[in-house]
Amino acid sequence: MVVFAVALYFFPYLVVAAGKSAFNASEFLIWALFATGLNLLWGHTGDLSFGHGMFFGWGAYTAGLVSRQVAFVPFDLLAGTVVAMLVAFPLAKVIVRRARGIYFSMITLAIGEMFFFIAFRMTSVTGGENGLGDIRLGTLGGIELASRANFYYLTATVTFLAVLVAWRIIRSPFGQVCRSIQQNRARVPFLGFDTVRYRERAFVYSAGLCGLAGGMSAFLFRHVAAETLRWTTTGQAVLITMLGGLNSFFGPAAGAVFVKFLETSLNPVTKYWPAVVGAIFAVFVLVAPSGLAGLTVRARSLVRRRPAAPVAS
Amino acid sequence: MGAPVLLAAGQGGATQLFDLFLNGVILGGIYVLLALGLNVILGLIGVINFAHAAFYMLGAYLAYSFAPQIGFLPAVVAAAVVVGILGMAMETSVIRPLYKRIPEHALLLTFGLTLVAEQAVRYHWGDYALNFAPPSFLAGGLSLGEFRFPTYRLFVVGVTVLVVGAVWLLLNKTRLGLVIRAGVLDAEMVGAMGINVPLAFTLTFGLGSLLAGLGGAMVGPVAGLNPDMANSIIILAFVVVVIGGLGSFWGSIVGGLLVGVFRSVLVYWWSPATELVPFFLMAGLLLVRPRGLFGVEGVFE
Repeated sequence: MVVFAVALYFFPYLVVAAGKSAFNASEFLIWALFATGLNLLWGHTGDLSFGHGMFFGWGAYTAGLVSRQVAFVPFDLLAGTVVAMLVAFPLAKVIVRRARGIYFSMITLAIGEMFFFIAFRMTSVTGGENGLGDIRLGTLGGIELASRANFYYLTATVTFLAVLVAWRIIRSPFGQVCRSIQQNRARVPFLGFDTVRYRERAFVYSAGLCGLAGGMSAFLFRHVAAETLRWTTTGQAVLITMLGGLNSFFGPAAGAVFVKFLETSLNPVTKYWPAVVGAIFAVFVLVAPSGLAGLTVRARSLVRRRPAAPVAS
Repeated sequence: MGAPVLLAAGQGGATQLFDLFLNGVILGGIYVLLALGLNVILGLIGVINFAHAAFYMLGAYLAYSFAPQIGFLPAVVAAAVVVGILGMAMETSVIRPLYKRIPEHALLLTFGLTLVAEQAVRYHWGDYALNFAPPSFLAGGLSLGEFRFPTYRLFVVGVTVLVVGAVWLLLNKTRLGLVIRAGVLDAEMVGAMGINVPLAFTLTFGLGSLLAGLGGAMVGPVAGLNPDMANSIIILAFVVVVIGGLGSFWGSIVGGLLVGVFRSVLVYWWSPATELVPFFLMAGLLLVRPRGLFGVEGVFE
């Protein structure tokens, strides 16, 4: 965690040295947080949600709308997170008990898409097709947040705190049970655990983290598009999580930086960059399903000439 | 977005409702073709083929490109066959190595390939919507009393019925169908009987893709073509499959028609219905029947 904090501090220098801006650095971090949130559910509990863009979107819209009344970023972000969790709670109650595996993915996908259409049509609240603008950043204890560097440090602080929370959740007894559900869903109930309750809680926590990431993105772009709720957003996060390394804690964050860096680099070169990202992704699924994290483990064991630690895929 | 607007010029209440109903049946027919292909692949192979909608889109674009050269009907057939072959190529090259892994991997792989396919379509055919006029012999309408049926839509309904019938015969009355149905129950045992299961898988994948390609090839003249058509239809195809029940033949048909008719007819009273109804339908149904209309407990869980 200390290493992570130090890395966050130096990260923007690296990004700028690589020819990107502090704005990009913030963007990368937001996606890192989104992927970490998704991984909490998918990687650590085993439920692949294809609708987490809805929580990202709920967080973004809430934070954006609240900022018009109270231009105090921490409060707005908190509001976004809480609302995302409030939306997730009844959904978790309805979906988790009924659906697992592929059904779970498809149902979350459809519900996310439903919210997308609602946001797209409710122009009076969300701005509909034009998206939500007029998001107020304000200042924080006298610090001007409109500055990109200052905004980066805000993003870094929020990401650090959120990741710390996620870390604590996964290391807790609760997280242990979640991990065992992911590894062997049938056996956990024999140990006396009600798996549904654990999966529901993981769903809500994960939604909160994604909502927080959404709130940050609202402030970064000063704009929320209805497309953030669409399944294509979730698809990106799923892709990033997989590429980084499912099950591994920091893998998805690394995946976010990798994919978003690739994306911002390819974007000016060719407008067909999603094809490159898609192809790389497909290759990863085929030959390295445990992602960047898995590759690191393999590389390390090669260097040390020891058998690779088993990486669950 | 998503919803092809099929509204004919507004007439009186009853006539308009009937028009909407007919549109719903046509839309439903396209969904049936899509969902059937998706479901056949899912049922036998246990693979959620995200690229299914990409095949649908390719079918539409290929038919559009073939039609000026070889005529409309041959173009539809050729597009469907080419897409079917593409599906088989995809299965043998990249899907097959994933059978031993968790089902999510195949879903993710095909998702990556969908991104590639979408960009390929944008690259070759452009970013903008294309118009695909129905052929002249299908362009008119048939009048029956005060109702008027556009010929092309009747054609779509007719082809759908024929194809669904053919697929049913194939699955229930042929040796290949027997192997496929047995494979759904226990692929390993079927293999032990000396039957070439991988080949049956490849053929099934080809059949499913062919159905998607056919649906796409026929939808062009009704709804036009655009590079986003795969992204907007895939969710509906999933919804139809979930409503009908994973792996269920009749489920795909009932689900497809139900979604098509509901989303078309309810527009009469409430215009956002066309986008939201499929999801409400699905959510409501799943509360009562978590595995869809014809789904069976314990499959794909």
